[in-house]
Amino acid sequence: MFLLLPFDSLVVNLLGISITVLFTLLLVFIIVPAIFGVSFGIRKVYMKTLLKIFQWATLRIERGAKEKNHPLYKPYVNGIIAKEPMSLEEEIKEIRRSGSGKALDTPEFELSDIFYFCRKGIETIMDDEVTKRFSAEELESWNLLSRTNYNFQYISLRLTVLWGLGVVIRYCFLLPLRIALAFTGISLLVTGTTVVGYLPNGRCKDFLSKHVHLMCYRICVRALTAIITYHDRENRPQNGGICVANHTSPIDVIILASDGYYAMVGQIHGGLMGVIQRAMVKACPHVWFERSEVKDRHLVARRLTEHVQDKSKLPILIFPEGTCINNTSVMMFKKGSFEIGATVYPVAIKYDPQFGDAFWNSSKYGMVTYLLRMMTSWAIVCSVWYLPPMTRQPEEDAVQFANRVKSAIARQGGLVDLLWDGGLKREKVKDAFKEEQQKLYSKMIVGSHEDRSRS
Amino acid sequence: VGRAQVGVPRVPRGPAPVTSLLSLAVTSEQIEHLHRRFKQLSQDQLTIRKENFDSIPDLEFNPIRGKIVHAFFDKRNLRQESEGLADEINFEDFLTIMSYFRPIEMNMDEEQLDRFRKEKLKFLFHMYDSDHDGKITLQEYRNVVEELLSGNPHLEKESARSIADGAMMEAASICVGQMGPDQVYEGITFEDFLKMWQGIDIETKMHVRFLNVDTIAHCY
Repeated sequence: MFLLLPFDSLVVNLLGISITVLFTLLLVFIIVPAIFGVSFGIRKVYMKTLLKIFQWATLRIERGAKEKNHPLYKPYVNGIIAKEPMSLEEEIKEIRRSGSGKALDTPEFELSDIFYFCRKGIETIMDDEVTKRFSAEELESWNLLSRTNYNFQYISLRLTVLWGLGVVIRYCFLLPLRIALAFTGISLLVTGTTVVGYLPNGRCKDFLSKHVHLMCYRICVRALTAIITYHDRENRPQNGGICVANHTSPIDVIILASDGYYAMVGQIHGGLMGVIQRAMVKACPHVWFERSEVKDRHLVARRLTEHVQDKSKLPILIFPEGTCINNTSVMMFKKGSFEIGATVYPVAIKYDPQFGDAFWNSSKYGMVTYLLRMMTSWAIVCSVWYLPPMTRQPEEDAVQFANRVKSAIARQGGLVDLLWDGGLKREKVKDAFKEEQQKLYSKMIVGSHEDRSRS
Repeated sequence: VGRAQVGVPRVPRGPAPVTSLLSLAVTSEQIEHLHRRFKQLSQDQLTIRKENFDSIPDLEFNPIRGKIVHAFFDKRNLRQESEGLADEINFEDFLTIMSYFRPIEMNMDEEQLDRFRKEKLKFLFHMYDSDHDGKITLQEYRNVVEELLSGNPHLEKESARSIADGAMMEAASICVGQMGPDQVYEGITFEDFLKMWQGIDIETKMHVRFLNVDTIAHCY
C-alpha cells in the first residue's frame, strides 16, 4: 500500500520538465555546434572564470599558512637528489679501471669496492620513496580538487564552502552532463559508421565517413570539456604518412582525431571497445590486429606498410612510447613505426595540469576509474603542436631516427627527453632486485676467486 | 577538513647555525630539504639515534648498512676532538656528515681539491678502521669483506676469509714492497690507504647531487 501525496506528481512533473530543458540545451549548445565544428566560446569563458577562482583560493591558502608561520609543503616529483643510473658492475669496473692499471678481468676484491655501497647507502638516507610520494606534477596553485591539495590544514571556512560547492557542481551537474554527451557521441559513432558502411565505395562514402568520425570525436571532446589549442595547423598529417605523438592518456586519441582524419591502429578488444572498433572499420579502413597477431612484428610492419603505401588511405596515428607517461618527459620511442619508411609527422601534446591531471597511471587506476576522474575534473586543457614532417635520412638507422623525432617533440612541448624505457614505471624496482645487487657483487668476487684457485 | 595540524615541519628556532655550516657551501634550499629529511628520520625530535635509521626500508638491503649508520655517529667524522661513538646527533652533525658527499666546485684550486679528496678518503678509511686505532688490520679488513659478501647465503666463511687475506697481501705489497719472512704487516695506515687510491678520482664520484626543481613550461 502506498500513499500518493498530491505533492509527488508535482515533483515528477518538475523532474520531467527539467530533464527536457536540459536535453534541449544540450542539443542546441553542444551537439549541434559539434556537428558543424562551430564553437560558441563558452568553454573559454568557463576556463577564465575558473582561473580567477583558483588564484583566489591559492592566495587564501598562502595567507592562512603565513598567519600560522608554517612553510607550505611542496611535493617533489623526482625526489631531491640525482641518483646515478649506472649499475653495480659498471661502477665498480670504472673505479677499478681508473685505479691501478690492472687488467680488467681480475675481479678480486678491491679496497675501492666499498665505495659503491657506501654512496648508495647515503643516497638512500638522503632521499628514498618517502620523499617521492607524489606522482602528479607539482602545481603552483590549488585547483579546488582535493586530490591535488597537500596543504589541507590551511583552508578557511570560505574556502571550504567554495570547495564544497565545487564538489556539488562537478559531481551533480557536470558529471551527468558529460556522461550523457559521451553516450550520445559513442552511439552516434557506432550507428553512423555502420550506416555509412552500407554505401558503395567511392568519394561519397569517404566524405561521409570522415565527417561522421569527426563529428563524434568533437562531441566526445565536449564530453570531457577539453579546451584544446592547436598550433601550426599547416603541418597537419597528409595521406600516406604516419602521425607520431607522445602519449599521456587514452584521451590523446580523441584530442588528435577531433582535428584531422586519421586511421587508427590497435588491438581488437572485447566489449564496448570492440563494438566501436568493428563499426569504425566498416566506414573506412583502420588497422586492427587480433591479439595473436600483435606479437608478430613482421606481420604488423607489413600491414602498416601496405596501408601507408596506399595514398587514398588516411594517415596512421601511432603512439610509439607504448605506455602512459606523466607528461613531463618523453621516454624511449619504440623503433617499429620508424622502420616503415614513410614520412613521419610528429605531434607534441602537452596538458596543463592546472585544471585536471590527465595522467593515467595504469598500474594504479583502471580505465573506468580513470574516466570518472577525468569527467569529474573541471576541464582538460591542452596544447597540440603540429611539427614539420620528417623523413629518415640515408645514414640514419631506425633508432636514431626515432630519437631525433622524440627530441623534436620533447623540445616543442617543453618536456624532458629521457632515455629510459617506459616499462620501468610498471615494475617498481622490486625488493628481489635490490637483493640481487648484493648477490651479484658476491658472485663477481667469489666466482673469479674459485676460478683462480682451480687453475 | 578543519584546522588540524598534521606533522608540518617547522623551521627550528634554536640558536643561529654555527659558522662551520657556511663552509659546507650548500644553498639554503638544500639545507631546508635536508632539514625536512632530518625531521622525518628523527620523528620530530631534535636528535637522531641509531634506531631511527631503521625506518629507511631501502637501507635494509645494503650489505654495509651497519658501517654506514656507524659512520654517522663516529666522533672522528663529526670533527670532534674525543674518540668513540656518539649516542645521538643533531642536525648540525647530520649536515657535517653530508658534507663529505658534496660535489666539487668549479673554482677550487689544487690545494683545496687535495684537501677535499683527503677528507673524503678519511671518511672511507674510518669505515674500515672500526677500532679507531688509525690502522686497518687484517681482522678489520676481513670484517668488511665478510659484510660486503654477506648477501650470498651460499658463501662459506672460509672463502670470504681467503679473499680478504689475498686482498690484504696485495695491499701490503703495494705499500711496503717485498717483506721478509719475519716481517709482520701491522696494518694499513692512512698514508698507505691514500697510496692505494692513487689514480682514482674519488672526489668526482663520491658525491650526491641535488636536483634543480625547474618550473615546467605552461601551455599558452
